[in-house]
Formats: sequence, C-alpha cells, structure tokens
Amino acid sequence: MNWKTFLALLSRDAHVARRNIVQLLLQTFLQPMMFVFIFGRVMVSSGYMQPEYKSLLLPGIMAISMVFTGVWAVAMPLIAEFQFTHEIEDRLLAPIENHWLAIEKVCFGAAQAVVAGLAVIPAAWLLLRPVEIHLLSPLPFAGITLLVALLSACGGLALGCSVGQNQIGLMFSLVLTPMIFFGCAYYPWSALAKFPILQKAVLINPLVYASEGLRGTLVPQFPHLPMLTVLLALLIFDSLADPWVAPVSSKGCCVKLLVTICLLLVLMPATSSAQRKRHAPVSVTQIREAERRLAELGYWTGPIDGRLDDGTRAALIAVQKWEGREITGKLTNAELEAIRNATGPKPRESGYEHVEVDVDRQVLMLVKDDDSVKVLPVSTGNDKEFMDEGQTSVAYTPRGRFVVYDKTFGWEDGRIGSVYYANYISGGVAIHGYLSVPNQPASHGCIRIPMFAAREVSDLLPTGTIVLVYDKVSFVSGKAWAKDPRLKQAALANGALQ
Amino acid sequence: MIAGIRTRDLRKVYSTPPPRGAGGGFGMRRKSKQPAREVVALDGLSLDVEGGEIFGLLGPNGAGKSTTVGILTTRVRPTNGQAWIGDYDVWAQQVEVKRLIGVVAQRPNLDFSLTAREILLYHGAYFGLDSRARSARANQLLDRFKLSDRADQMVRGFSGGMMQRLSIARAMMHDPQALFLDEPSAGLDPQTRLLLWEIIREYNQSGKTILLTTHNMEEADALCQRLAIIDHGKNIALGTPAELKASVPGGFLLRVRFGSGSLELLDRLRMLDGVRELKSNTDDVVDIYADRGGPLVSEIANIAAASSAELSDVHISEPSLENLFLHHTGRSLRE
Repeated sequence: MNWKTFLALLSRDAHVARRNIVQLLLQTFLQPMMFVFIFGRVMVSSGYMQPEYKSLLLPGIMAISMVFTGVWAVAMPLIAEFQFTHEIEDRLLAPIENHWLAIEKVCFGAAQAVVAGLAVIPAAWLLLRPVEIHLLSPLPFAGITLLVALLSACGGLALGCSVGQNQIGLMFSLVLTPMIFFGCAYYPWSALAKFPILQKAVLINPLVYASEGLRGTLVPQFPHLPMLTVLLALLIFDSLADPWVAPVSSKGCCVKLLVTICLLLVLMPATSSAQRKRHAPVSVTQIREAERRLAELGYWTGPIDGRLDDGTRAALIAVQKWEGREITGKLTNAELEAIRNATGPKPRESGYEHVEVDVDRQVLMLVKDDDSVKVLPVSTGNDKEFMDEGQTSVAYTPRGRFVVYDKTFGWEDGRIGSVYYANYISGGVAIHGYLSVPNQPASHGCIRIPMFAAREVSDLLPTGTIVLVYDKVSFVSGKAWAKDPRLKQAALANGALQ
Repeated sequence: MIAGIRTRDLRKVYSTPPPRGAGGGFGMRRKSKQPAREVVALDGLSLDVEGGEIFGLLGPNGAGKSTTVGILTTRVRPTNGQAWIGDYDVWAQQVEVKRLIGVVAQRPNLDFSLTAREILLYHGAYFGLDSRARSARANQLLDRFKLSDRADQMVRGFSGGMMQRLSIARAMMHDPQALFLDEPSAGLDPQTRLLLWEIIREYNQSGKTILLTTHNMEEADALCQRLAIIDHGKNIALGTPAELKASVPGGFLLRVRFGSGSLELLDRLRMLDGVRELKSNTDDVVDIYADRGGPLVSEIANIAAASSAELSDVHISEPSLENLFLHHTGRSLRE
C-alpha cells in the first residue's frame, strides 16, 4: 500500500469532479428536486397528497440521490475508461496494487454519494417546508448513510466492470429505473402489503434497504423495516458485491474489510436504537393525539410534544391502571382507540383542594378546588416484612386522612433508601419521587411517584394539604377538615409531634 | 540501477479475442457454456534484453508484440512462463515493476479529463514526485516534445500526433529505468518522428533500457541495437540489424509473378547467376533471393519466355528487414 499514490489518485478524481462541478450538481439535484417539487409541493398543496407524505418522501429522495450518485460516479467513468478510451491505464500503471485503484474509486464514489445525500436534505427541506424530521439517533443515521454510500459505490464498480459501452442505455432501463421505482423510495415498504408477491420480490433491491434505513433514522414515526434487518441486508448486499470486485482485484476483500469496519462502528448504537424504535410503533401525530387526549382526561402527561417520554408513559400506565386494563405503558393503535373512548378519572371527593391515593388502583390524584384532577401512577407499600434497625416492620401504607406536615427538597438520604422531594403525611410515610415506580405495590410504605413529576408535585403540596389514602374497604372523608381548618391544624400538630 | 528485461517461455492464450492493443489488464469475465475459441497470442517466447540497450520487437499485426509488452508491463497476465524486469518478477511483484517502467501503449490512453500539463503532473504525483520536481520535469518534457504552447488545454482536442507525443512524455515523466514503446511513431509526421528518435536515443544514453515494437523497418534499423522478429507468438530471428540483414541470402529480393509456372521453370531460375535462394509459396508467385537486382530481370524474362510461362509482375526490393521477415515467414510485414 502506497499512501502517496493513493492520495494522488484521490486528488485526481477530486480535481476532475471540481472541474465538472456544475454538471455534477445538475446530475445530482435536478431529478430529485423536480420530484420533490411535484410530489411534495404541487400534489400536496392541491390536496391530492396528504401533507405527511412530504416527510415520508424526504428519506426516499435522499436514498435515491445517494444510490444514483454513487453508482454514477463510479460506473460511468469506468465504462468509458476501460472500454473506450483506455484512460484508466495510466492509473493501472501507477505504482500501487490494482485493487487499491478499485478501492480508491469506491471511496471516492462513496464520498460523493454522502455529499449528495447530505446536500439533498436541506435542499428538499427548503422546498418541502415544513417536514417532520426527527433525527433521534444521529449515530445510526451516520452509519446507515455511510453503508448506503459504500454499497452504491460498490454497485457502481460492479456495473462499471460488467456493462459494455453499448449497454449503458439498457443499464438505465433494465437496472436503474426498476431499482428506483421498486426501491420503496416514494412509499414505505409496508405500503406494498396489498401486493404480497411484489412485496417479497422487491426485497432483492438494495435501494429498499437504503430507503427504509434512512426512513427509520430520519422519520421514525412512519412505518419502516426494523433497523437490524436493514443492516443485515446491507451487509449481505456488500458480500454479494464482493465477487464483482474480485475480478478487478485479487484481494477484493479489502473493500469488504472497509465495509465491515464501518458496519461494526454503527452496529452497536444502531441495535440499541432499533430496540428503542420497537417501543414506537405509532407515529408522532398519534403520540401527540394520545398525549392531548390524556391531558384532557386529567392524566399527568408532561409536555405534549409527540414524544414517548417518561410523562407520556406514566400517563399511559395511569390510564391503564384506572381502567383496569393490562398495564403495558405502551401506545398501540388499540390503546389509542381505548384512550379516545375513555372517560376521565373521578376522585371520591370534590369541592376542595386535596390529594387522593387509590391504593387499589395504585394511582394518585391531585384534586383542585375547581374539581380538575391530575393523575399519576404510584407504588405503595407491598405489605411484606422488612428489617429496619434490627426491628421487623411491615411495608404498609396507612389508609385514612392525613395532612402534609413536613417536606424535604431534592434528594434526602434515608435509612432504607434515598427519596426525592418528599411530602411526609404520617410518621415516616411520604409521597416522594423515586427512581423506580413499579406498576404494583413495592415500597416500604411510602407512596412513590415518578421522578419527572416529583418536584412539581412538591410545589403543589404545601404543608397542610389534605391527603386521603384509601382502598375499596376504607375511605375517610376529608370534608370535615376542609370545612373546619382548626381540625386540620390539630391534625397537622399531631403529625408534627410524631 | 540498470534494468534488463527477460522472459522465459511466455505463453498467452486468450479465450476471448485479445483486446485491441492488448491493453487493459482486466475486464469483465464472461462465463459462457460453450468453450470459447482460443487464440494463442504467445507461444513460448523467450527474450533477453540487456540493461541499457534499445531493443526492437518486429512483427506483423497479431504477431504477439503488444501482448508481450502487455505482459511485461503488468497489464496482461501470462498463461504460462515468467517475465522479469531487473530482478523483479513482473506478475508477482507488480508494484516494484511499475516503479521501474514507463509505458506508451499502442492506442492513446491519455486522461481526457485533464489538460496536458495536468496529465504529466498527476502522473508524477502517482509516482510520488514532490510538487516542485513535478512541475520542473513537466515543463522540461513539454518543451522537449514541443507541446508547451498547448500545455494548458484539455487533451480531448489534441491531434493524434500530439497525443502520441504527450503519451511518450508521460511515460518519461517519472524517469523510468525501462521504457516500453508500443508503435511509438505510428501517426507521427516524418519531422516529429525524427524528433522522437532523437529523444529516444538521448534517453538511452542516460543508461535506460528501451523496448519498442514496430513494423516500420526504417525505424527499427535506425534505432535498435538489437532486434527480435516474432511471428505467431514465436521468436524467429534475433540479432543486430546488420546481422539480421546479412542473414538474408543475397540481399536483393525479386518477387516474380507468372501466369502459370512449372517445376522446370523454377529449376532453370535457380541456375541463374547470382541467385542464392528461391522460394515458391503459391503456384504463381516466386521469391528469388539474389545478390543482383535489376540486371536479373531480363534474364528471368528470357527464361519465362523460353518456358512459355507468362511473366505478369516483377517487384525488386533492396536489402532490408522487410526481406528478412519475408524470408523467415513467407509473409510481408505489411500484410
């Protein structure tokens, strides 16, 4: 390996590309931009297409630009230089192994494809505005982009070495055009569900994985193939392209090595993101709808932002607990339907500001004097024995009526664990934030609430707030205390004494 | 280091028709079910070119000259046999070999995306010359090959002769120990050809080995210190131009065509004074090698008249490599 020569070869290609920059730009952008304009602007603004289509289209356009550029950048010069002008000979005679020339071509083509792909995003974005791009996982995005670029350049090498000068036209109509139309660039793969045979058949098309992979990393709200499938397929296509490289270089494995390194680089973050993605089988729009509806009903959702964050999950758990359904914390289409038809949670008492903890349902309700509620999932005492300072105690959450008599702020270290923004209601029993809030009773007696809400709950619960803790057999009204503050004061003093 | 060039029993069999100019070391691999027609381009060729000499490969089209050059310049893989440049095995140590050689292919293979100067500069860069050395050498070569005024134009518009000059300049750019010139003067006007010869001699005088192929007798005669004549992939004669010329019986060649011939006629021709050798390839054409030219014609005409054979054509050629080739192969170089 001779780096000087390799770099000189690269700089020659870069020099030629710079010289033909206008031509290159037109080649790369004209076709995708026209497509974006017609389908993203004309069809959408005239109402033939839904606005969501714009976001769906963008990754596909990016995939097409990349694949097209990569193939073109490598194949076209090779076809001419090998067969017609023999121009390649001066580089074959450069003091470097021939396979490095192939690798150089692939590197350069891949670089050009990456540039094309990345440049299409802002250009298309300008034309399409607004589009919903969610680059949640930049590393897998970079990895997929690199893999697609490398793959298209390898494909270009394969085509460039196998297609004759007089078959270029045929190559377009027989290889590239079907590849683009059946490449799932203009529609997600799942849209082919009505054509089962076609849906299976298009899986031999590498562009499918490019489009679906970019869709999965750029606009995960739309249906797309699982990331692992995409990565595996790209790897398989690479090893398929390898024998094509072999006639050029006896050591075509170098390209393979390059791809494998690249793949390893992205596999780790990509797999983790693939797992994350599995929890998001619904679109951003649907998440946003669920959040809005849940908040309307009185569940604590956090910001309504179309993201499945801790707040959304807590609200989903709370509504499932309230309605007695299976507790999954996940948003599915069925779940969304249930939420749409749900009625809001009802506190046992109303007319004054207080907190209710339903031990049976494992939820907490913050009730305002205007009867609005905010519901959080909680985890109370699990009724099991535990050891504390050599004494056996039972992890029991007392039922009854209480007042918040003491508060701590931030983290507080206790004997049996740290608590976050604790609101004490009886002895050592507090409503507090905790890192783990299981769906079933799990505490030593305290009422655990999710971390994200703990601080805000603390703000909403000044000392003296009435807290009613009950199950189906025990309920004590707090109305008497609400009517007569002296009684509450007495209870507060009692609590403070303990 | 002075690099000699050697080959041992080189054999090359193309299963597809050989690429024109035998360039392009790799192309597509076609796998067809029918056994492809095999073409034997080289059939056990052994050469030994001394370091520092100008060696010529002479032969008609399809003799295997370009394939030999292709193998020696790493662009064609031999079917059997071995080739060395200096101490390096050409196929096994390609990179080392590529460093030593400069190549001018038969067909112009200039980089059409670049200007003349850039072609030289990038070629220098591939060989690791630093930028100052590159531009100095490029200027010198452009000047030497009279290309300075078109140096910054794209080569696409160059005439064939200019491309050829630039190809040779490019091959000399990295100062190779061994220079391969495949038909270097094809398409050059006589004046440029003389310039090229001068440059080649000059380059040789700095101790470089030059191997050129040609079917131009005059060129081989003027330039080469030694020659190999090859035909059908075999070496059929080897020596200095003078030695080779001397090996032709007589020196003069009279090619005579009769309307009809007979064995008796041939015997009588053979008896003529000064005739050294007589060859009859076909029924009506007779090649007469003799140490006289013109004066023989009238005697031949007399014999023909006496044998009632109609003499239809006589062609006299002076002592030349052409005759030599004809003598060995029975075919003209220009056929």
